[in-house]
Amino acid sequence: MKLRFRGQHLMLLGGSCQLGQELIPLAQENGLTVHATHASPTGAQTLRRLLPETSIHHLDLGDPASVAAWAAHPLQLDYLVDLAHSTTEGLLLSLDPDQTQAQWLAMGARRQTVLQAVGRAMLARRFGRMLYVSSTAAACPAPGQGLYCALKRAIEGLYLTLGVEMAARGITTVVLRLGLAHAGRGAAFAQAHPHLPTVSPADAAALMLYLLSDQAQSIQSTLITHDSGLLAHKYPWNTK
Amino acid sequence: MEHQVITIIAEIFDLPPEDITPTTYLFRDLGAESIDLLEIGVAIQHRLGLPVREDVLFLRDMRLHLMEVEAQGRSPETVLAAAYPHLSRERIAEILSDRDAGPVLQVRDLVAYVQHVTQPCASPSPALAS
Repeated sequence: MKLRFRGQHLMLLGGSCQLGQELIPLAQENGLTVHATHASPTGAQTLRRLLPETSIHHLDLGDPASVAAWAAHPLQLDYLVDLAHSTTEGLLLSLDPDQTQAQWLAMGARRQTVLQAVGRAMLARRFGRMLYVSSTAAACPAPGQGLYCALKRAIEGLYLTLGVEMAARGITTVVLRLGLAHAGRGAAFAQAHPHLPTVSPADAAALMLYLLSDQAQSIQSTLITHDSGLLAHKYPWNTK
Repeated sequence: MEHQVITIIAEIFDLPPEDITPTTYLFRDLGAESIDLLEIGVAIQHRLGLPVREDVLFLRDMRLHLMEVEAQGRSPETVLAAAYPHLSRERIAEILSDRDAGPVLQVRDLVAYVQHVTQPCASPSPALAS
């Protein structure tokens, strides 16, 4: 099947992660012009291997000045894939309060500022498609991932509501809950638990691209789980 | 500015521009909903390149501002002039006499806002701003 895209410009929020690195060439092969944000020099260096300098943008959700500057002049985008995520882990009762507040500000409030800027620019042209890459951690709590789970659920709420509010004006949204992947924070865990079902980064990227395409526009303001059946099994730890 | 604002509103409501006048009411005549106002705000921001404070542009919170009148012992004209500095003294008087009939927002209020942010020094109601 050949994917069709009504729009042209795609931005990956937090695009230097491994999933972003998989998605960038795939999107380019399908004719999209890709932009990506990074929050660190390392992320910028990664993106420079994949994108021209003019398509690489600094956006650090942890830095209010960075978010304000970006929101004041948002790019004219057709597609947004949101891959930015918190890395804070720990038992809820032991998390540092200041760090917890900073994470809510960065991942929640400042992300909403970015979403508003992107969404308003899309509304001006009455077209936009947003994909939030969430996690099965949002569906199924795990010890040490309470903050991660709560943030994911909160952000899912932002995207799902945005899709409901703006669909009549051409902006649609979808949330992808990814399971255990051999990428990023999940890679080491997957390696240590080889009996658990996993998703390959390449397959995840292919599904993301499909979800952006014209053919998938009716998948709207809803959640999709892509986890190779991880959450379907009552006793996944015993599936050897 | 009036022409540009009317053009934006006509496009959003899918109406001929000649059907819209400065005294057209956004809610009473056009049946505007919150998403329509959002789209008007976005069009003013992106097409006209102007900063938009939607609470001011759409005269939101007017009821709350008027509640301050009793709480603070200030005149309603003074309170509204401070909240909506783009409105003239005459327009504020009209709004106060018209509000019992329904939502007061008119096209000319949006035009006044656009003119005000374009020329911020030309405050239409300096006598009431204190």
